[in-house]
Order: sequence, then structure tokens, then C-alpha cells
Amino acid sequence: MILQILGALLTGIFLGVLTGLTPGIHINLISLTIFSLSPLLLNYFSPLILALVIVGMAVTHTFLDTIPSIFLGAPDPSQVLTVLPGHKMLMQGRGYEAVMLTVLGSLSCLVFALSLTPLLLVLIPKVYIILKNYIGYILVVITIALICKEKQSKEWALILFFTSGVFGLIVLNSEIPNPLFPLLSGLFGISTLLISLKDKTKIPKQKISFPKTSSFEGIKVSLIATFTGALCSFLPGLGPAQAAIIASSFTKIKQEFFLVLVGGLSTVNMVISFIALYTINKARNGAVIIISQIIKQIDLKTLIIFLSSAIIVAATATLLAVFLTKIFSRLIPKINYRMLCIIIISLITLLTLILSNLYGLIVLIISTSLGLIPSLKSVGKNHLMGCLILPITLYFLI
Amino acid sequence: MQESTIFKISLSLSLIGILILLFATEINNKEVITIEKALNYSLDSKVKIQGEVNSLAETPGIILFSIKENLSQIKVIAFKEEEIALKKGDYVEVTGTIKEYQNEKEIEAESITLL
Repeated sequence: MILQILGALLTGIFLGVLTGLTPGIHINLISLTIFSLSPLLLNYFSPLILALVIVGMAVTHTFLDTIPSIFLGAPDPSQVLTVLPGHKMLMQGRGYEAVMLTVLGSLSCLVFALSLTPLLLVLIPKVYIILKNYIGYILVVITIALICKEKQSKEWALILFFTSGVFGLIVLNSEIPNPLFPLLSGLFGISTLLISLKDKTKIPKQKISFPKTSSFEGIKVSLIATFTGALCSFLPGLGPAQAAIIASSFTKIKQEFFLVLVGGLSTVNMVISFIALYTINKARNGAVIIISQIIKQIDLKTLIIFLSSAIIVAATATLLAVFLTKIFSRLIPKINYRMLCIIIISLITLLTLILSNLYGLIVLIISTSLGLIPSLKSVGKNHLMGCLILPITLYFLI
Repeated sequence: MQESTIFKISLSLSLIGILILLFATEINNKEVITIEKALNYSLDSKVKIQGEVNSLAETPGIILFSIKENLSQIKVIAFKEEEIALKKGDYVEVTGTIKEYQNEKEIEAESITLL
């Protein structure tokens, strides 16, 4: 039994490295593939083993998905906000440090979240019942806080929020398959790459030095991340990206710790969505939906197996992240960055055509244009998250 | 923080994880669930149910019966390792694995206890 479980986790970790490092190949895609193959696979493996492959992949993914978003500027949907501080540090030769900050965030938040599990098992059902009717109003308050915090130009922040919001509303309600991919890749990925191309950016030699930050501050931020991530992972419509906005709109967080925050959030989100599946029987993200399809009823024993697997996977993924980031740090200054930008932009365009057809391409072009405005007007790019926040707010208020 | 620190932390975490995993796979004291719920479980999951024996067939090696609780019932098949005396109307607790036989879910029993 245990050997089978470890084998499943190893397979999951391998798949997680694949999805984590390749922009555009999302865990939902692989989970769906596993699910569609499950009638065949279930002849050889038990449902638990298949589910654990997905658990392994999902957790590994949350540790490694910051690597492409920091080094290549091509983010995964949950990591759109790491691009900005991460890219800045890359330009200072601190790409390795930036990834390590997100990994430390992931690891510490995982430990916090798991030690809080007994409490969460009791609290989640209660808080869920109280909060589920007020999510819309909470989101309105967050939006106001987000726009008021903008120092450069509140008008542009407002315009960006609503333009991207209306655009998001249109795209998410359209028939386009995988609408999030072209939407977010344009807003946060390609637009950043185009600015680097225009500025003739050269990536400096990367230093391999571990972050020297105060661990007190790190623990504080991790606790904030654990708390917000926990809250957002069982409420409908809120994911790690929204959680990052919520957390950063209520506390002042420095660039370095922002990376700890976003790194931690995606991991907490994933781990707590397993707990939410058990306590309130609600699947909150693609991978967990598939897990709930494979294992119809999750009991406490299964949950404990999931969570202890998450610890093993997290520890392995941390070491993998250290190793892989070193390779990236050595390779990236040697690569012709202009060429790399062009390759990644073409790759995203191609993937858009494959995943979301010709309409997706139109979405990509519009969202890229929108994504260029913040850099040109030097306002915060996070207002573009309106594309997700506005549709969700309206969904809950109307 | 140093790189070696994170290495040590990761190593100890994975050891803790494996220990909990070992422990978790060993625990078997399942909660009793309703037959209705058990019928919704996927194949090969382990369940523990209780109910009234309402039909019974026996061969030298196998005992086949169905147990009823409220309106739902499920077939149970057990390979006799030791003699058990069951009769209609008995209340039993069955622990076993959900299997499918001729498009119908049934339980392959590991243990049967008279209540």
C-alpha cells in the first residue's frame, strides 16, 4: 500500500514539474486527461492512487509555478501578481532569491495550514455558512481599498479596473474555450514581455544567494497568507490571485514579502481545498473537482492520507525548486533574451490558438493592449485583476 | 536562512509525512455509514455498514446474503474462513470492500459481527 502511494506521489511530482515549468500546460488539463483515462486506469489502480497522483501534481505545481512567471514573465493564472516584483528582482540579478522567497512562503504556509487542520475542520463549515451571503459586499470593499491605495493616478486605476472588468465579463460569459488563458496571458504575460522588448532589456548575471530577510517578518506574512488563503479557498469564486489582493490591500507588504505571500497563497489554497472537500463537500478548483469525481466520498482517513502526502510532496518540491532555479539562473543570462521573449510570445499565441481558437486570439490581442496601459501610465498592474473581481462581484450581488 | 537549513527542513518534513502516512494507512476503525451512502461509494472503497439480514444462501465455501436498512439494501458476499451462524432477521455489522457483480454493487466482506 505505502509503496503504491509513494509511487503515485512520484508520478504526481513528475507531472507537477511538467505543468509548473511549462506556461500554458495547466494542472486542470492533466487532471482532466487522467479523469478521461480513468475507466482504463481503474482496472490497474485504486481510486485513491489516481487521486494521489493529482494531489502530488497539484502541490508540486504550486511550488514551481513561480519559476516561469519570474524567469520568463509567462505566468500561470494563480501567479499573475508574482510577475511584477519577480521580474524586477530578476533584473537586479536576484531571480534565484525571488523564487526562493516564493518557495519559502509555500513551505511555511503549508506547515501553518496543516498544523491548523484540526481547527479548520471545525471552523470551515461554520464560517462558510456565515460568510457565503456576504461575499459580494466583501469584494466591493476590497475593490474600493485597491483603488484608493493607488498613489500615481486614481482615475487611471478606476478606468483600468472597470475596463478590464467589463472585458472580463464579456470574455468569461462567451463561448470561448479556456477563456482565462488568453485573458490573463495578455494582461500580465505578453504585455510585460513586450515592454521588456521595447526597453531592450538584458538580463544580468544572476547571483545564487539565499534571501537574507528577517524571519519574523517572513512568519508574519506567512500567517497572513495562511489566513487569507484559507478563507478564500472555501468561499466560492475566490482563488489565490484574489486572496493576494485582499491580503495586500489590508496590510502593507514590501516587495520581497509580497513574493512570500503569493507563493504561500497558492499552496495554502490547494491544501485547504482538500479540507473543504471533506468538510463542506465543495470542490473549489479544477484538480479537486476531478479528485471528487474519482473518489466519490472522502472520509477522514483519505483526508489524512492526502495531507500527509502533501507534506512529503512539498518537501520534495522544495528541493526540486532549489535545484531547478539554479539551472534557470545559470542559463538565463546566457540566452538571448530578446529571442526568448519572441519565442515565448509566439508560444503563448500558438497555445491560445490551440486552446481557445481564433476568438481566443482576439481576446489575447485586446488583453495585451490593456496590459500595456499600466506600464505606460505607471500605475499598478493589479487593477487589471478587475477582469476577475468584477464578474465575481456581480455574480454574487445580482 | 541558509540553503542547508531548507535542506534539513525538507528532509525532516518528508520523514514526518511518511510516518503519518504509514500510520494513516494502518488505521482501519471506520465509522459506520448507511447502506444508502455505501451504494454511492466508488468501487474498491472500504466501508462499514449495519443492517438486518433478509435473505440468505450458503454453500460450503461461500455465504451470500443481503442486508437491509430502512429502504435500501445491499448484497454481501463472504468467503467462509470460519463457521458463522447467520439467520434471517439477525442484525449484523459488515466491514468490506465495494465490488461490482452483474452491474450491481455488492460488498465483499472481510469481517461480519453479530450485533
